[in-house]
Amino acid sequence: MNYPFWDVPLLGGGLVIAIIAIPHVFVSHFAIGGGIFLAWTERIGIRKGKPEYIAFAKRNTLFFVLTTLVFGAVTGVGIWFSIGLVHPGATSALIHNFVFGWAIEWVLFLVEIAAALLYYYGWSRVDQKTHQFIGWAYAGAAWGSLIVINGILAFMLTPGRWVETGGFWTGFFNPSYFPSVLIRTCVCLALAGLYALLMASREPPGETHDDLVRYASTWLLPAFVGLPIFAAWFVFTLPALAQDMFMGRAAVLTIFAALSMGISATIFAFAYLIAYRNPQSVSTPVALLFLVLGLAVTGVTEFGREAARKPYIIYDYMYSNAVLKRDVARLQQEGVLRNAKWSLVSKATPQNALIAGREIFTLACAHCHTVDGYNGVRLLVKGWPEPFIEHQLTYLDQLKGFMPPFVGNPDERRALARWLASLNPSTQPARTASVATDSLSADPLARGEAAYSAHCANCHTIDGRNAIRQHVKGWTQSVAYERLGSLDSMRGYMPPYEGPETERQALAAWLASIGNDAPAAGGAR
Amino acid sequence: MNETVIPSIDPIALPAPVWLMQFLSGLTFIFHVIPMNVVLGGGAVALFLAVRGARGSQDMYVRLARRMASVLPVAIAMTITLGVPPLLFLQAMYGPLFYTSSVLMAWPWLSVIAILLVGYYGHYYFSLSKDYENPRTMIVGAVAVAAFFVIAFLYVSNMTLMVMPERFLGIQRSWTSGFLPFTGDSIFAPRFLHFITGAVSVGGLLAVFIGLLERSDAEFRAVAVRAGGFTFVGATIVQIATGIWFLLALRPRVMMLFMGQDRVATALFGVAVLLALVAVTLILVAVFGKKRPWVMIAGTACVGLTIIIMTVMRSIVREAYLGTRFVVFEQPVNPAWDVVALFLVLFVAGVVLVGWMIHAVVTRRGLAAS
Ligand code: HEC
Ligand code: HEC
Repeated sequence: MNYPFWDVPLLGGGLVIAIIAIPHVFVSHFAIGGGIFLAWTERIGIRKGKPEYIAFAKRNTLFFVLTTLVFGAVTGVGIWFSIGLVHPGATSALIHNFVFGWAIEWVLFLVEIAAALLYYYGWSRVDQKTHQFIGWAYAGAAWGSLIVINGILAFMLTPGRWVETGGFWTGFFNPSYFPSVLIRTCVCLALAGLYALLMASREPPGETHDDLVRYASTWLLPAFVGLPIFAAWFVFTLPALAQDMFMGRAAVLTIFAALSMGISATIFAFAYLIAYRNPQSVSTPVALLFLVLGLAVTGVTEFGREAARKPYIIYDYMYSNAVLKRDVARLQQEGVLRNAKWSLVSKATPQNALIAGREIFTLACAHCHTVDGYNGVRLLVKGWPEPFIEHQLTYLDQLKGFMPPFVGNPDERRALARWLASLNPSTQPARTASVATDSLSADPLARGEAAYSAHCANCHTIDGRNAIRQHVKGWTQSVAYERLGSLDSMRGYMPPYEGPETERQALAAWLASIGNDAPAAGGAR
Repeated sequence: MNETVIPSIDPIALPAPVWLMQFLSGLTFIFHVIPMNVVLGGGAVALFLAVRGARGSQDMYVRLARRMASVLPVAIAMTITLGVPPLLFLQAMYGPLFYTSSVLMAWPWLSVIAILLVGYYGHYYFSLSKDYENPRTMIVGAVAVAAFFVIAFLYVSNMTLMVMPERFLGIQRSWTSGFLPFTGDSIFAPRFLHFITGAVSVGGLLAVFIGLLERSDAEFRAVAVRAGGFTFVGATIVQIATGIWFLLALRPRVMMLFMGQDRVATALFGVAVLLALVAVTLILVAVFGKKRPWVMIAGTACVGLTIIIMTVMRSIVREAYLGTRFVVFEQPVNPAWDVVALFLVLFVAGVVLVGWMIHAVVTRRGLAAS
């Protein structure tokens, strides 16, 4: 609410970042692995007297250099541009804490770029020893930039004690720092191996082809051995909520984690069974396919890592919507609008509810939701009557989706609910009307159901959201009758029930009947 | 809608004093601006020479164009790499202004990345192409040159909007918010023109240097020095004109700083103008006189000094525009000297290492020889 909001229709800012970040993460890991790969391969060529290894390294230099130099550098700057636009507050917080971390990363990047270029130009110009030196400078600087930037990335997920103490080093060497460095290093080596595999597959069939393919496949070994261990360590360092998300509380995340493991396992199986055991059978399309799988697994894993941070952008410090955790209580008192610098209105009133609601959505929700596109809120609240929305907003942080608590005062909650309800204009009347005609029948259960429609269905469904059947499971008619008298003292902020005596009896009978029925038999509508 | 809204400063204190960050950002900015001018101006001049040479079948121009183009990819890499620290420190010190102006022109600002990729690969193609007769080469070259001009345009736009927070709210409320670059102030046009004519001058200098470095072919040398010299002098004269326009377009309050009201600003301005004139004279002498390299080097040194002084003037203008609304030196600072020291040590070590490696590759003498 400090900065103006960049509204990206349909996609949402988060996807814009992902579109730039995923290729960058892939290429940068790949380029780091490439630096190590080139220097090491040249070394083996020299040590073991294998000129074909040296030639192989030489042939692949230009490609690695160009990916680092052009695509890696430009998309890296691109991530910066995009996070500054989508999350200016968080970017500012990171830069204030880590500006010299970034500056150090930049020094390493400078060395990496220069060494990469000189390694390329140096093939025919300097002696072997110097060339090896430049190669190791390239590899070292590239890996150095990884261990620096990793501190900042890991920080966002597990800032650890920093939240209380602040300070550069506390934030930098945070709980997930070491497992992340190890994971990323393994990934770098594996991606370089996959690329080398592709290049080796293009050699003409023969001994050199097989030797190089087998050699390239060994680059996946560290990842094969290390990733499961380091990944387990990594998950162990996560905050409890994020751990739960991986372990099944957030279906999407669990699927991502499973996908990531599944694709990785496929790649390793391929590397061992085919590339290592039967190198002669590795053709270019197959190798290419596996490089693409490598990209896929990078994408999936990064997506998962980002998602695991929900509802925070910097864990325990700043929520995705740029609200600081420590400000929530104050904002719930004062209201968000009063604290929003760019809002059209500074207070929600019944007269301006729709405008205020829209502004509150921008402030509190739009970092994760669009209206009609990605995670579109119109569909999410479809079929929700206004009072129900308003109730849901009071415990937003307990709904699915791992959302921050609603920051706003009661007037603002009402305005937001009004605006959200206005997104789907024609929801409730149809349903109420159809049940109302049934109620003409004299059957007490039908009358009970009609009473339910009139008094409860605004906020409950029978078997779906906030299912009434679950709430009344095992109730007898007399218990139900009893409880109807004290609805307002139960969970859920319900209004007291104030219907006539006969209706109360009928409703109690109906509640008891569904509470003791299985869903299918109870005629779920 | 003349209410000025500026986001509040980040609650986390800066990890180094503002003067140090200003210094580091200014220093790296200068090293960014030099290759940037080579890319922008050198690319434009090379393209112009290539088209003229191919049309009039003047081989020398084509050759010169090719030599100039061959510098571009490395110059782009340097521009990007050296552009990172100034942008980093800018965000640290001026975040409330910079993030806001960026968001208000979000799509154009983000498009810089895509345009940069186009320009980068375009210049690779242009510089590696063997065939300058082929219209396709010229089209790709023109697209790349245009790409860098558009990037320059967008940067000038954002950097101008950033110092005019009184415009923020009005833009944020308009329906074009996020979609259009900012051009709505009378300083925008002269500021942009002043920058690009400067770049063209530097492009001219590049040609002169390529000529002077040529030892075997006297004719090529003469053509390159002449063409480059004329470009430099012509563009510099236009640049002085746009500079005067720029000065007059500044808010009177700011302009007066350079016209006597502030002694340091006025002195800097005077020295800069003087240096520019000296540079033109020296380079004219170098081009038409006996072509002594040291005259050329002295002229170039004057250009370099002018650029440094202009960088300082640029920040004077920035602070003057912001006035009391955002005082960069008045923010909470909580120095983390250990990290700063680590950075400085690594920085020096990195520069030494890179210097040694360049030396080894250029002189072909490495570890084995010593
Ligand atoms: C941290 C990001 C984030 C923020 C901020 C956020 N949401 Fe969500 N929200 C989600 C995600 C993720 C889901 C899950 C969507 C799904 O399951 O398809 C979700 C789900 C929902 C749902 C459906 C819940 C359910 O149980 O079906 C509603 C309604 C909703 N959000 C409204 C809001 C509103 C209103 C705000 C602002 C006050 C908001 N959200 C802020 C991420 C967020
Ligand atoms: C204004 C919305 C609203 C209305 C109207 C409403 N409810 Fe609820 N009700 C809720 C919410 C919200 C919850 C809490 C759900 C939760 O915590 O999971 C709830 C919970 C309940 C529970 C479980 C309470 C507990 O403490 O376990 C029962 C039983 C229940 N409702 C019955 C009814 C009946 C019967 C009616 C109609 C007479 C009704 N409700 C009308 C919103 C409403």
